[in-house]
Amino acid sequence: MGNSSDQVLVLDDVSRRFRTGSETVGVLEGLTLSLERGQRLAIMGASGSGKTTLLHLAAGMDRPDSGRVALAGRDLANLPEPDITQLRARHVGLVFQDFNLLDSLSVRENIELPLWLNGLKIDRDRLDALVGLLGIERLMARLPESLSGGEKQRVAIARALIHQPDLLLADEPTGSLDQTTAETVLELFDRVARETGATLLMVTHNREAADLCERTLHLRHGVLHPD
Amino acid sequence: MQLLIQFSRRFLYRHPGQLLLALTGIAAGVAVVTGVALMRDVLMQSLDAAAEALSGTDSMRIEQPGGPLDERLFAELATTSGAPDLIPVLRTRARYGDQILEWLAIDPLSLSEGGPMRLSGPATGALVGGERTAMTSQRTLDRLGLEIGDRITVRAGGADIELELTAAFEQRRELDNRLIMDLANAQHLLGRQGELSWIEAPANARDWLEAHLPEGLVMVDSQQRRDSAARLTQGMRTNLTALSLLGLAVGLFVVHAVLSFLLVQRRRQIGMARAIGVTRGQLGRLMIGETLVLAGLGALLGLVLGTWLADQLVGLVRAPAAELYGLVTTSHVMPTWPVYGGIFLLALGAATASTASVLRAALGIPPGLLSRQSDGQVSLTRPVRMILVTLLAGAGLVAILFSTALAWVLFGMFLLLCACALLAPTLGMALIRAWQHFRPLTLSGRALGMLGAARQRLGPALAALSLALGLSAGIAMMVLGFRVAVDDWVERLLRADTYLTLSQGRIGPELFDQLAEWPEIESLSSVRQRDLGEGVNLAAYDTPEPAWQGFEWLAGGGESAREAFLTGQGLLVSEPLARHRNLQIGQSIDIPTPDQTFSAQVVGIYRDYASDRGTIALHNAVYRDLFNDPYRDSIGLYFADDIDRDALYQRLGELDEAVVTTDRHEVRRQTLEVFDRTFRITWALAVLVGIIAAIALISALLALGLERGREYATLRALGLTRGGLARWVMVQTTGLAAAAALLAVPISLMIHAVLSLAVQPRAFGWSVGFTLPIGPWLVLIPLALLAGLLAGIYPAWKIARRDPAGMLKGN
Repeated sequence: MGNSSDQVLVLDDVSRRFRTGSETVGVLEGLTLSLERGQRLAIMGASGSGKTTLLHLAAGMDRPDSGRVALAGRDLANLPEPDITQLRARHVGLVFQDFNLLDSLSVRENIELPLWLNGLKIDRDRLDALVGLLGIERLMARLPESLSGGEKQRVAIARALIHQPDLLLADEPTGSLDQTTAETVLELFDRVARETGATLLMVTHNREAADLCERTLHLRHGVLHPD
Repeated sequence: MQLLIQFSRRFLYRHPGQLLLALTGIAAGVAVVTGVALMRDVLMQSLDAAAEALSGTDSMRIEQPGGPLDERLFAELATTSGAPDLIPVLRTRARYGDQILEWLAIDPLSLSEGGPMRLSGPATGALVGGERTAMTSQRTLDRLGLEIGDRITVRAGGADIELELTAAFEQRRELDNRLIMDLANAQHLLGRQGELSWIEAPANARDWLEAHLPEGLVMVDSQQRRDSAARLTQGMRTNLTALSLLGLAVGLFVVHAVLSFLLVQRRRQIGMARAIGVTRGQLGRLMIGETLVLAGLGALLGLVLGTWLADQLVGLVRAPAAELYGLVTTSHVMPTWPVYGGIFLLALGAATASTASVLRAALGIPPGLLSRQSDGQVSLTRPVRMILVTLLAGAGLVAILFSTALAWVLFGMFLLLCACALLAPTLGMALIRAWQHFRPLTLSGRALGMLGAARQRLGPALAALSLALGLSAGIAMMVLGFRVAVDDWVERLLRADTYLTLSQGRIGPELFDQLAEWPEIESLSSVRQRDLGEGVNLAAYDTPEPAWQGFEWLAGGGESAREAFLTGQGLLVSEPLARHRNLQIGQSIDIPTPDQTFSAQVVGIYRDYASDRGTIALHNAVYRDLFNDPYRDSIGLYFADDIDRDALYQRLGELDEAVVTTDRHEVRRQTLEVFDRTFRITWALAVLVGIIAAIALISALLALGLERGREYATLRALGLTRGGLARWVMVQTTGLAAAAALLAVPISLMIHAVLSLAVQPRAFGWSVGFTLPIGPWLVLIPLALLAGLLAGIYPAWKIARRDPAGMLKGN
């Protein structure tokens, strides 16, 4: 492991189990990984292998049964829930498979949401540059329900990056898109992520998406394996 | 179809909260309708209950129009050859504490052995055992906390009379709130020797009676009595029925909101079912079946609740029914299967109709739909909505402005409320958007913005809420405005310094003449009242100048009218009577007297809120001659200037220990007390409608919380804290309630205007000046905000404590 000040994310011997009825299923078993600033890591695995659980733990949206998660240098185990939420708001950008745009807000409002949650002022230049890069300038006043899947995901990427997070977490970002659209979105995702210098943790079962990253690990039976 | 039913059943089982809300909504609406319907039946039956107890359900009465019967008539008829079984009855009302009882005096020996009264030997003995012995039902004893052997003091005929309860009827519901006594004893105690109220006869004796009754007497059968009770209480019943139906309508909004929410939840499943071959017909049958089962269960629950509620409402209506209409009701309702069946079918029909748009939306779901979004949801386009609103409002206004029938006016008000319901979602959302626009970048602005996207879901709830709040506030404004009008009227009417009555009986002419001689008293007014039948009152007045000034003339009046009144050439009529009979100044009216029919012209129509059936007023001297009745019920004393009032009161007290003086402030207070008692049931129904509205609010908010769960989870994932999300949800609930409250303000104004200016004159015959008591608004708006806040606490707590990861995963 590198210098801790460069480590944006650390998962150390993390286990997570879920109870289904009378049975307890171990999804992650003693999982360890760290991500340094600017690194891009893809985690591949079959459906149900625990990829999304791993991402939720990394974002502080879920707590491990054992082990340690540190985000932006802060050990989440010692933080109360409101502090974890604020840490996530400030340091994490999230891209979901299902986009999860707020239907009731316009594209512009969706993108500005993280700034508002962090109490940051809108940097017009940055906003214009980001939406220009993603090619969604003309969509800003529209509501999400009127967008195509590709457009929605581009808006979601802009929302994830607008507040310049230390860590970008992407959960199957092309999972809901057709192949052509997925390729376009991936290309944009790659470009934007590089230009913003974001640290990326992507979980996917799409090899092409994983290839965007410098490193790929495989999650099998709750344990990470090298590519 | 079996599989589809299974699909439906399992889905509903997975949403028990929504199911419970739908059941509660319909049950609450049905309960209010059932409660009022059963209570209304009690009012209708109250004139007949005693007759049924005496001689069965099929009987008739021999009555003397405009006065009591002479007891000698009974003796003559009963001893005539071939006479049917006749029962002489004397009836009056008695007050025991704050309870009003009907005092029925009969001749126990005249009751036929096989008759419904079924008096046993001991009971007959108990009835005639002593001068003050009386019987009642066991239920009445229980309700009043009395036991056999107790002595009670009742006030009847202006006197305090002590009675001893010597026996009780078991299982005789129709004798609830009735005191049964021996005729001769009652005549003696009431000072009404030789008088009868009516003679009860079997219905099959009509031919015999027609052949033997002297001229001037009338026969009234049970149907006529029911009709009479119906006419007497028409205004009250219609108003309460309309209110109860509005309660049901609000309840149905809840059902609509819940069912349309459940539809959104399973749009995807329905789309899949359609894709694999489920036809629209099968889907339609399934949805209608669901509605009927839901409505049926809710209605059954509502019938049970409503029966309990009816007993409570009867308790509220008992005092006004007695005070306003002279009807003594039973304590408990007597439900019948036709009433239950009618309400059950009404609930099924109304629930099915209210969910028609949901059904249409379900049938419109294309096969294979994967989205849960609200696209494809059936809703009216803006132009269609505006056309409908204009048509409904126009038709409503025409019905209100141009119809003289109460039912049409209420129908017109219903149409106006429908127009409001159609407009409410659009206007409510516009209000919410305006707030959002005002503070777009704040948590509240964004939270309210999210509400705007849920219009389809929130529309019915917003409409239900604003209508229910508007209805509650509008009724309250009408009652308060009416109270002000009554207060002004009493203030103007009560001119005397004090009013004198006797605790033991009527005031004889000697006392009046004696008081007229006193130098401390400048002038005397008096009143003697008599029932002319059908609730119409005859009031004989002594009207010195100041008392005459107490009349507020709506037509006629003036000096010439007074002259005509004093000489017996002119009569005064109250506004309700003038409206009911369409009387104008100069028109002649007939008053039946014991010897003849007296006719005179109407010379004045005055404002009067004492009786909604109306009053004919004539001068006391004229009355005395016509009715050979020298007595007075009360005397108004107008004091001379600069007298020692204490000394005068002392002197009045020394006149007779039965003398009771009540100053005008006390009379005013008592009048307003009666007013408040009269409107207790209206308040109760307004509160019930409010409770149903609260259910609508909670239903809408829970639906919103569940439907928007994924958005809330996204917000949490993006960094909105639990506290922030809780505030978010509560801003939404409070915003929704605030929008509904603001919409309720003009709705309440409209309801107040229609009730005060159109319904009151047609239902009761009196006009009420339009005032603007804003008190209900000052209560309504904070209360709605508080309700919104409270209603948001649970969903906010529930949503905020949910794990965002789980919510996102679980979709």
